[in-house]
Amino acid sequence: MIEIRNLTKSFGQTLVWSDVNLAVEEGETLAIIGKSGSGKSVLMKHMNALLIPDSGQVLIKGRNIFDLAYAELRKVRQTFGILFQGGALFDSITAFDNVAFPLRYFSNLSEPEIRDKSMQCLEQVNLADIGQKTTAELSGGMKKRVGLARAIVLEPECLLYDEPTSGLDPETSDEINDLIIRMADELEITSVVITHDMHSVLRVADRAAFIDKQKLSWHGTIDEMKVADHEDLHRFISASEYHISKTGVTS
Amino acid sequence: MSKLLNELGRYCRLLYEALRSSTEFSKYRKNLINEMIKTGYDSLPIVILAGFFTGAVMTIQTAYQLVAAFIPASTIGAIVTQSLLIELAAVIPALVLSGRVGARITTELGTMSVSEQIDALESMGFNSVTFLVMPRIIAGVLMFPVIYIAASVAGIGGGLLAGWVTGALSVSDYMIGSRSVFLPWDVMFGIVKSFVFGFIITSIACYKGYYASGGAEGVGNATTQATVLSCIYILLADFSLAALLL
Amino acid sequence: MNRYSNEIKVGITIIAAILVAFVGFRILQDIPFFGRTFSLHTYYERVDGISPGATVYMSGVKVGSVRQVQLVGDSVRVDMGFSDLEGIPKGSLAVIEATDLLGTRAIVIRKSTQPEFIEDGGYIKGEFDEGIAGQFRQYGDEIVPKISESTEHIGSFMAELDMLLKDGGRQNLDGIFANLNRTTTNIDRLVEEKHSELAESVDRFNSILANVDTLSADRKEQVDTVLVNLEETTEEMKQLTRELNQLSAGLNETVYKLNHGEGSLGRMLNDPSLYNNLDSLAYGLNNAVKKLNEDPRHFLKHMRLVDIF
Repeated sequence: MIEIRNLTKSFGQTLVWSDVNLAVEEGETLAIIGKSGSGKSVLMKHMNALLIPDSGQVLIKGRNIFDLAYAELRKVRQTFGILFQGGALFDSITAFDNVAFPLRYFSNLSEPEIRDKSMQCLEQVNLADIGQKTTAELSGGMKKRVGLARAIVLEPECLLYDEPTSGLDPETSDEINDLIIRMADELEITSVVITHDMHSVLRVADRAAFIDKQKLSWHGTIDEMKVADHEDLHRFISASEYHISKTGVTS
Repeated sequence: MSKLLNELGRYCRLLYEALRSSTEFSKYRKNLINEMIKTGYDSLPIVILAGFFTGAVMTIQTAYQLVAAFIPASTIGAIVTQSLLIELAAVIPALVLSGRVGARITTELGTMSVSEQIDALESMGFNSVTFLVMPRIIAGVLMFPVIYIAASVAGIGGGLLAGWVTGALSVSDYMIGSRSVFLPWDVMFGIVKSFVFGFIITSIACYKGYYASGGAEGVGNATTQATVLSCIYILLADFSLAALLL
Repeated sequence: MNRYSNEIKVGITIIAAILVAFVGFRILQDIPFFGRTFSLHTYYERVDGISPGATVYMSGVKVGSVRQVQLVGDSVRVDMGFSDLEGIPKGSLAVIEATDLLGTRAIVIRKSTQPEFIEDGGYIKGEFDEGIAGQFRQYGDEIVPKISESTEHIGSFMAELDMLLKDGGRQNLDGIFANLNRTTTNIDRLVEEKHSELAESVDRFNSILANVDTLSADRKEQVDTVLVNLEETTEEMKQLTRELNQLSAGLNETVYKLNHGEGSLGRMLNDPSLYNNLDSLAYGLNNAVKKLNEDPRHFLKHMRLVDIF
């Protein structure tokens, strides 16, 4: 579905990562892990051409999205749903309108249909009672769930999650993880989860890719990851596990 | 120097993007209406207030300065009216609104930029430039002439009232003076100016806001820069237009 | 404010702005909204400060304004708009006049008495009034011949006076005075001379009368001779009286001539117009100086200082 080839990106003089090669298969859930500032989110934004690389390609269904005309690119983008880190809700409109927003501009549905569809999506993220609350009245977890509802409202083929559990308490994190699994199962969606939360990775991901030291340092299935002979990866995982065991939550 | 050229390039690119996709602009009509309300309708009270007091203060001060007995009182009306129409009714609202309108636009877009709302729009398939920048610039260009008219009328009325209340000159003297110097071209000049000022304020504010980065502080910096740059470019444009058209 | 949708608010704002602009435009251009309006045009050689918006007066009342001023060949075409007015009578004049010291000019319609009106868009004859500067020029034009006339008068008067004093006139005067002197001395001497004679005569007469009284009776012959003598004396006195009369007539004539302005001296003393001329000249000059002191702008105007404004 998504194929990243020899991707290199730098901001000014600072190299983010170079020569990344990665493929995401249809229907699977891939976790991209790495330390903060390793460029995980930057990589995710390249999958949607929100950022333009220095060199390399991103092929989506065999087409390089950086070569597409804007009208084509827009169609490709609409097959993706993105849950941004802070939810990225439009704060000038209510939570409900945020979900209905893409429908109002990109669907031919009538207003009642839009309402039904939006409500349906909100129910899927367990927020049926969100009502006319403004985004400022929502908690961090609710914002992410509203963001998720908005991401799925146009029925995407692929969902990109940017740090879905960061800044949330463990219980809410689990709810979000459950939602990610449910989306993948119920909607048969390909998912890419950007995270440094190993707990979340172990819960939701089929495969993982580890970005470290300005390159894609390791990738493979979760089972492979547990036994991989990779020092940096293990240090990263064990730090998370230590953190998890300290807080008393077992995986 | 290269930084300056880079900025200019990005600014032009943003404008180009806005223009290039103007065909799909009809979809975003609602945005335009909202922006026109915020830029024009909501600005009218402050603009009318500013215009009114500009005219009133000018009348009183001109009356104070013109003490020579052989200059007729109507000259005050002439000076106030022409100054307002040519210069003040366009420039003063522009400077006031570079704070009110420009700062609002930069803050809005800057916040959207740093909280990834612009990315979210793009990811949904919106052309964020068309969606966010175009309506704001068009609203500025369309509403600033309205603001100019409001400021002119308020200013002339303010001058009239101030002259009458302080006894500096009678209403009929004021009107005779105003009429004696009134040229339709002055109004055209003022409207052209207000078009340009509207464009400068909104486009600079959009540019600074759209490319804002670095969280709350980044948005604050962008807003300050946008306001200062707007004021500078308004004055520069004012000078250029005067040199070019008068 | 949720009663109105944003679209309506924007629409109202823009329409209101256009309306206000339109109304303001009309007010500042001085075009009324209601009432009958018509326009006239005229041509001037020059308009000196008449521009669109300038006021048009008739009988001191504002009746319209200038709409357009344009050069047409050598002359200037001025279009005027009128309102709230039935019409301008045919044969009226449109005169450009200055309305204040600064040189603000207006067009003043000088109405004719003809009953018909000039039709809409028609032509009205135009005239250029020089204004205060022009008036001053005119004033100067008037006063200059007066001054030269006056100076001429003074000149000729002086010349005459000079001539009078220098040439024959002086001798004449001298003569007159000498004659007068001589006459007076004559009279003096005469009176003096005859005084004793008269006294003597009276005395003698008295004694004669006494003698007559005493002698009349017996010396009748003697009395007769006395009477004859007396008769002679009377004759002499008559002669004297005649001479005195003649002298006083001569004096009278001289004085009359002086009084009636015959001769230059007389004229100088008697011609009131000459005196008046001098007087008014002095007054006029006085006035001019006073004005200049009081109101120098009057004359600055003449120097076209105003054009700098």
